[in-house]
Amino acid sequence: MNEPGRNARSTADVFDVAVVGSGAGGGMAAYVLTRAGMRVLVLEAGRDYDPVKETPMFTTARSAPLRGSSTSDKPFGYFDATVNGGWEIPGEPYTVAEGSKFQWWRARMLGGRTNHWGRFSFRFGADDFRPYSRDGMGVDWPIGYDDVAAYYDKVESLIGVFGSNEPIANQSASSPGVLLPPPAPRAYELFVKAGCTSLGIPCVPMHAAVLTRPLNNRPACFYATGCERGCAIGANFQSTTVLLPPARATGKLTIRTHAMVYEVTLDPSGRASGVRYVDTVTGKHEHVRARAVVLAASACESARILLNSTSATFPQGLANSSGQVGRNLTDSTGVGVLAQFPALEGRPAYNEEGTSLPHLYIPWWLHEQQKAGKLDFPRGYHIEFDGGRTHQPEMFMGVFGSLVGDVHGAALKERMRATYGSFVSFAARGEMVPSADCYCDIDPQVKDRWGIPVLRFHWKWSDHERRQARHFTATMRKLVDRLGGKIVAAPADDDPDAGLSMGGEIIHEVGTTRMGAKPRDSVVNGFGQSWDVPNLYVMDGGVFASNPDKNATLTILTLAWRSADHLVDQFKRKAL
Amino acid sequence: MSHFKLNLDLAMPRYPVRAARDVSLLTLDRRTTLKWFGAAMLAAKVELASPASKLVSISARQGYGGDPDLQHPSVPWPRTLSKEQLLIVAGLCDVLLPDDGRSPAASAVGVHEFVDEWVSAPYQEQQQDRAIILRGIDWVERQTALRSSQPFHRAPREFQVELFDRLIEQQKAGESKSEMATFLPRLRYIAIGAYYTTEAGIADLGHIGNQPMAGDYPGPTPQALEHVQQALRRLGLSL
Repeated sequence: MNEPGRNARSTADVFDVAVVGSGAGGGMAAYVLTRAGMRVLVLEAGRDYDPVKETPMFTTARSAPLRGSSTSDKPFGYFDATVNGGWEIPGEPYTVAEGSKFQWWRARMLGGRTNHWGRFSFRFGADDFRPYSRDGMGVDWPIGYDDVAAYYDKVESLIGVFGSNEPIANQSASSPGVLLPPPAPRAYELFVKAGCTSLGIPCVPMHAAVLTRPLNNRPACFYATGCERGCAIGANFQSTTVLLPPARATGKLTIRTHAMVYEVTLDPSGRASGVRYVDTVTGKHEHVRARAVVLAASACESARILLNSTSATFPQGLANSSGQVGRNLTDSTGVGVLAQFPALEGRPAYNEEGTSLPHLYIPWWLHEQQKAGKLDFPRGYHIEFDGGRTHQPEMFMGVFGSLVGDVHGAALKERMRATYGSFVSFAARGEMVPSADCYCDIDPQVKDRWGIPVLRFHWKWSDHERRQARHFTATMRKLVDRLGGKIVAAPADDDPDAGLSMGGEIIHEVGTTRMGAKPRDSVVNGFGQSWDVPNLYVMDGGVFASNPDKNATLTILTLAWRSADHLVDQFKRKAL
Repeated sequence: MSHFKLNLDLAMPRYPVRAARDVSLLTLDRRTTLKWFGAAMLAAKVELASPASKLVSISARQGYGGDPDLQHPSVPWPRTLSKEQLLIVAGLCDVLLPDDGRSPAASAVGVHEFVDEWVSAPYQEQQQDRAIILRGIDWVERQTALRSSQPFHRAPREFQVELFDRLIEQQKAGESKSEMATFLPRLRYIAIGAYYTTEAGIADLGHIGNQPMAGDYPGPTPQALEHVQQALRRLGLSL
C-alpha cells in the first residue's frame, strides 16, 4: 500500500471494507473499522481537504469578495467551508418532478457536509423510535433508545458535545460526565428566556458539538470565528479533524479522493464484491474490490448508487427487493420569524460572539399534550434562535438599514447604533411525517457529466407540517409580543405552505434506505445491514425510519458506530 | 441549510442564514425579499431590457468558482463604473452616511468603490442590481443637469439632500408609479452593508469580538446583565 491515508491507487488490492463517503457516517465507519484492525478504503467524490491549513480563522467580511455575500458559487457565503458544493454542482445535476420543490445540498470535499454543518447535537428521545405506536403514522424503528443509549455516550465523549440534561418529556439524558459544560447564555438569550418562562415554554442550554473543555488532544473553543467555516484548531466536530486523523493513525486507512462511486458490484453468489467509481480528475472508470461495502454517501446519494446498481438479479436496483430504496424521504420542516426588540436597544457592549452558535434553545415542549391528542398536528419541533451581536457584521447590516426607517444622514447612523444587537431570529425545526409524496427515483433521461443517471425528487408538504408551522408562527407572535418586540419578517398569512422551507432546504434529508424489522418494508435491518446483500451496509441518514425534530448528525454518528461494530462482529464470526 | 436563495443577504440578516445550516429561514428569505424590496427582481428584468441605461453585459465574466482560496481572498472581476459614475455614487453614499463626528463618511472608507465591485460582479443578483444602480445614476445625472450648473458631487449639500429626498419619495410612491422606486432600497442595502463591515463601521456599532479568549466564555458583563434585568422589569418580567 502507499502512504497510509493518502491516495493509494493499487486497485488490485482487496480491502476488507470499501466505505463510500467521508462525512459523518463514512468518517465514523472508517474510525471504528480501522481501529478494529480492518483494512479500509474510503472513497470520497470531492477533493482532499485539511481544515487545519484551509480554515479562514479571524478573517473579516471586508476582505472577501462582495463582503462574503452568498453567491451561486458559495451559496452560504464566501467563507463557508463547503468546497465545490452547494445547491447546484456544475455537471452533476438532479431534477425535480413537476409540481414539486426540492433542493439538494452537496459538498465535494473530504469530510463532506460535516465541515460546515450547524453542530446542533440532540439525542433522540425514547418516543422518537416508536412514532407509529404513538400516532399511527409512519413506522416504528426496529430498535429502541436502549439499543443506542450507550453509543450516544460513546459518540458524545469522542466528538465533544456541550449541553445539559433537562427534565423535559421525550428528551434523553447523557450519562453523568459525558456532556461538556454549556457556555454562558448571552444577554439577549436571557431576555428571550424570560419571555419563554412567562409563557410556560422551556428555554434551555443548546446541545452542540463544540468543545468548551479540551478533549482528546483537541483544545477548547477560543470563542472567535464562526463554526460554519470549519475550525483550524479542531474545537468543533468535523470528520476531518475528529474521525479521519485517528483512523489514519492506525495505518489501516486508505483514502481515495476524486472517486465518484456509482455502482456496487456483485460476485456470482450475489454478495457485494466492491464498487465502481469515476476518477473525476482523469474521467477513468475504476473498480475496487472489498469484502464488504459501506454506503455513507448521504441518504440521497446512497439511494442513487443502489438504484443505479441494477443487474439481472436486482432489476429494480440493489438491496431493493422491498421497493423502498429512495422512498420515505424526509427533511426537517423549517419556518422562520425575525423580530426586533426595542427593549434591547442601547445595550452596553460586551463580547457577545461566544461559540457563534446559539447558547440556548427551545426544545419541543408539548410532547405530552400532543401524545394526548390535544394538538392539531402529530409531530413536534424545536426552536433555534440567534441574533444580538453574536456575529461579526456582514452584509446583513444592509437589511437592518432597511428596517430602521427611511432616515438618512446622521439620524440613520444613530438608528444603526441604537438598534444594533436588538434583532433576534427564531427558526423552527420540526418533524415531518413520512409520505408517499416525498421520494427520489432515477430520472429516466438526465445523466451527469460522466453518464451516470441522476436523481429526480418528488416533494409535497402535508397539512401535518403546515399546521405545525402555523403553531410555531402563532407561538412566536405571543412570545415577541410578551417581550414588547415587533415581528419584522414572518410567513405571509396567505401563504398556502405556511412559510415552510422547500424540501431538502434544511439539509436534514434522511429515510431513503430505511431500517425495519422485516425485509418486506425496509431496506436494511436495525444494524444498517442490507436484507438482500448481507455484506452491504448503509451508515448514513438513509437508514432513519423517521426524522425527529432533533437534527440528524449526532444520530447518524451513533448508528454508524453501532453498525460498524456489528460489521466487525460479523467478520469475527466469519458470517460475512 | 441553511439555507438559500435568491439572496439571503438581501433578504435576511446573516444569523438566520447561519442558523440555516441548521437554522435557515430560506423560504422566508425569498418571501421577505419580495415584501421588503418591492419586486426588485421584476424591476430588474424590465430595466435590463431597457435600451436607455448604459448597460454593459458582464455575464461572460467568471466568478471566483466553488473552491476559492479562503486564506487569501481576492476579487477576480474588474470594476466597471466610470469616474463620473463613481463620483455620483460617492456623493449619494455620503448623503446616506455622512461624517457625523463619530465615524467617517461613506466615501472616506471606500463604500462607493464597493458599490462598483458589487455592480461589476458576474452573479445574477449583482447583475440585477447593476441594472437598477446604473439607471439610478443616469437619473441623478440627468436631474442634476436640469437643475444645477455643477455636477452632482460638486453641487451644494442642500441640493444633494434634496435630490436624495426625491428618491425617497419615489421609493414611497412604489414601483407602479416610479421607475426609480427600487434604486434607493438597493443602494441603501449595498452601501449600509459595506459601511458597517469596515473597521470604522464596526467600531461605530461598538461590536466587540473576533478575539481569541482563554478559558470559559464569560457571558455578559455586569452592566450588560443589569441592562437586560431593567428591560425585563419594565415588561413585568425577570430573569
